[in-house]
Amino acid sequence: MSAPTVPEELLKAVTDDLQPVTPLAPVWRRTLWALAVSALVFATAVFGFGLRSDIQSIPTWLGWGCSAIEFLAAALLLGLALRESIPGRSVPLGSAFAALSASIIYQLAVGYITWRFSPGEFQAFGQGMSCMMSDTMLALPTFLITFWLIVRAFPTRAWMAGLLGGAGAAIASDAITHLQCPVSDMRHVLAWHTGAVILMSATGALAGYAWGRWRTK
Amino acid sequence: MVRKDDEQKLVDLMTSYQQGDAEAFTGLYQVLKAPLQRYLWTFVRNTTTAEDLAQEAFLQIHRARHTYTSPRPVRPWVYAISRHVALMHLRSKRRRKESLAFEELPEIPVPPEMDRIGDAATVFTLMAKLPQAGQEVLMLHHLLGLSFQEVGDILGVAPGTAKVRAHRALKTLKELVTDEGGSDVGANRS
Repeated sequence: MSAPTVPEELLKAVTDDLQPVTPLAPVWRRTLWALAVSALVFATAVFGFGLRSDIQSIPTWLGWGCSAIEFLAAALLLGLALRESIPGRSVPLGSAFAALSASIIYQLAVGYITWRFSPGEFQAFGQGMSCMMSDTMLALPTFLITFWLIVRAFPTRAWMAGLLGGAGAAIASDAITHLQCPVSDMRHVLAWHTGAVILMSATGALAGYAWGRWRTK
Repeated sequence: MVRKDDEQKLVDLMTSYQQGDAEAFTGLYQVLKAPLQRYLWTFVRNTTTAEDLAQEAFLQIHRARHTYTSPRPVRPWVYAISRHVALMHLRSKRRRKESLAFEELPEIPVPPEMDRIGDAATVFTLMAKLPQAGQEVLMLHHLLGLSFQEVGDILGVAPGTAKVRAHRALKTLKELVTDEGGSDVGANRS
């Protein structure tokens, strides 16, 4: 069997644009770029706006320790998002949802234990909207850099990469608000902080989906 | 070891291609076109459309060439892009599977475990009766020789899931061969 010849049209399209390209950096390095932005937001928020008023009543492992672990969970989700953006390195659906669910369960568990140590200040349920806004605003820089890194690659399931990127950014921002929000009431945590994670995940998935549709137009 | 040598050759070609070598692209095209077209055929069941999609896949491969990182295997990366091209085609055109013509498709060697089931024509005809997920794993693992880990990476499922799908599809395929008249198949093969 003779070797197939490249059709002229295809060969022209390829040779017209055949500059050398720099291969994408490994996933771990791209994850570090996203985390660097996240760490900058963390430092600015914590050292610029201060810590929760009841920080003294919470043990260090529960305050800073759990926040650090949540940051690692965010790193995992961001890493999965960036891995998903490379063809042939898709994240199994089960693993993606397991990582997302585990992060949310962890967030709720930390919220519950914190509440046991210090119920914190009282806040009317509706006032929690400012917490959700703050969570979202803090997540935005990390989400934007992650999304940019995703679209610079070639995501074959852009919605999935966006969902994981949005979730990772939201969990990283929750690591900050855990140290800042003085309300530990479970209704507050569930509605406004977990709500922010779900909102950012959905935003990421929608942004990915829209970008995927636009690219294939 | 043949597989390893082939893979190394593809990695070398891909690396040269990323450095701007047009000959390397031609080399990749010559090695990958036939299996790619076979794989794309499982989505559209039309030789001409599969050929068109293969060209589109190579264009997308060109656009995404910076996302390949050496020394990772080239084939899962290529099949994932091609799969994306096929799914986009099906989604945008809402194409129906038009015909079962496979005779004009480029030949790819049929591994012994598939050859035992029936001749290439029978296998490809009956494969078309399987669900899409089953067809894909059979094509990628049993016919194109990718590992279950690589198949999982392409489809976005765990390797175990890919293995289960392949096992079920192979079982169904064997049942279909029996139902269609194993004696005919045997006669064709002798």
